[in-house]
Amino acid sequence: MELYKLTLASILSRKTFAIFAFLILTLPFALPMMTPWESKPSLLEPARAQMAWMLLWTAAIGWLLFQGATIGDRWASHGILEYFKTLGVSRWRQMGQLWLSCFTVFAGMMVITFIISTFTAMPGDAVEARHWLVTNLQYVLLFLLVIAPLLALSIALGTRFNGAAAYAVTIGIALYGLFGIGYLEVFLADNDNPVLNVLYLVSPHYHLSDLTSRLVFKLGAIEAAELTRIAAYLGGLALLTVGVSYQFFREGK
Amino acid sequence: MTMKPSQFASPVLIAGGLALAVGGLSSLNHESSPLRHSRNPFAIQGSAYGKLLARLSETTIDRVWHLGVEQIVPHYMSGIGHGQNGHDDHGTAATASPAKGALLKSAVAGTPVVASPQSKTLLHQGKRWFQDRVIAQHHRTNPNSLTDRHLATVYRDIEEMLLRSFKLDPTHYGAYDSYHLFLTTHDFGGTPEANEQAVRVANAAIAAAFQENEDPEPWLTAAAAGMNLYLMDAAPYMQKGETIPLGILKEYRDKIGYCLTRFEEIQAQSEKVGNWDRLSTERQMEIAERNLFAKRTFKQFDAMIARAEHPTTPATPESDVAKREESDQP
Repeated sequence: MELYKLTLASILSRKTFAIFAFLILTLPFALPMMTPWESKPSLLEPARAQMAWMLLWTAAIGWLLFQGATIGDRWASHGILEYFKTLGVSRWRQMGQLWLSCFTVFAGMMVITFIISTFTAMPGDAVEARHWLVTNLQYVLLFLLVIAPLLALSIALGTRFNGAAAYAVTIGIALYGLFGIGYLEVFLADNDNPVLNVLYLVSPHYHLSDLTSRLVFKLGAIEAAELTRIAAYLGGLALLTVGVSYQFFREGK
Repeated sequence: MTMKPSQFASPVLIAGGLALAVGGLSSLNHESSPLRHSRNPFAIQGSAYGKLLARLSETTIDRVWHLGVEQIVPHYMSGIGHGQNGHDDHGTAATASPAKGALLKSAVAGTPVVASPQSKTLLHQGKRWFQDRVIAQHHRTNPNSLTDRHLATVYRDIEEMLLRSFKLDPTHYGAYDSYHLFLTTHDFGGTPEANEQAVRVANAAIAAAFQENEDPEPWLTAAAAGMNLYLMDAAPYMQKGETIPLGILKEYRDKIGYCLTRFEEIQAQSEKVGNWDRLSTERQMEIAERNLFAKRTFKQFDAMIARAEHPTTPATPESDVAKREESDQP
């Protein structure tokens, strides 16, 4: 686990994570006060949960994927990964340790989000409170299935190409899966072009992991059967992404 | 040469992942509920942030409207209110409509309009100086007004912005009513498609209010939407000079009456729990005035229904309404 320790120490000493951690801690409480809540105070609590999750997505796309891409690039360029290869650390282990070091810091942000979203916005009604807790747990699961493999991809692309390119490709995929598909749908509404329709089907439908509306509008937890389907789909994409990432991973440039 | 098990792992993951994803996708994408993007990422529309953004977007729409359609410096930038300065107000720009191909003589002649200083203190003069620069920054010097096609693009942009703002907060009076007005005003919309859209928008505003039992304001928006729906339904009869069928009158009296009753119930409750006191006096007065206006218009329904039920009585609707108005006054 030497590579893990080395990478974690490097991330911690750079301290950029502190900016995002600070934002995740404070903005969910500050920003709801800027909304027109005066005539409807019940807006405040869902707005807190909503902002906490939006910031976690922002930190994942803005910080985590960037961190993975630059670490992969830097370690491969500086020969660190070659060195660990000579020590007998396999490619899978290297990728796993780099992933874990980035994720260790990010896990702290996830815990903050989960606590803010679950416990500072819990509905008073007992049944609704249960649904609220379950929805938050479901959200954590689906969020992990999207972000965790993308981090592996950004690391792997970083080791092969340069950091900026690796980051651009990974956030491109993430943003396309979260938002871009919605625009493609509008385009497909009156378009029977088979190529575009196939493109739609093979696109990564990451937007399925966005359960924010279930929290904001108190829709309740997603049904178990439906959650299994979404988790199976996103889990499949995750395995695929990790498998592809391994193919891109290189110890040296 | 033997292959290590770790070399198999990646192809196995890719194949297994593909199979799982395809299986998940086909079970997600069935006929009854096809796979669809929510078009509302992170539930912004309709949330507290949606309400905030809908209010913030008013300024943007105002700016595009004044610079693009009226072709004058927006009032919020210049600090000059409506009618305060005839030299560069709506009237002059409107006569220079592109349809007539007229030149914007009045707006172009001479230097940009400079707002009159209201105070002599250094602080105010300093602020005034910047405001005058902002006016100059947006002052139109092109002698030609926008072409028809350019203006059509501006209209479409405004429509899109109004729709976006309405989606962000369908319960907001400003967002709903300005969009409705835009759709039904003959110069900009007024087509059958735009009227259809206006009906959909009004129904969406009413549906949004029905979810509300804490904030009274959405019910006033719903009452305004009901009134707009009534006017659209009644328009064909009014154009032909026929009396409006009793069914329509009664239907809308009930609908709008319900919205106004709900407004008053929730407003009273809001005063009781202290939400009402948190609003500024200006906001309270604005809501109260809007309520008074809605109530006054609503009262006409009783008069019109009475007239439709007893068509033989001498028709002096104006005096009837006037009497009711007078009896309103404390």
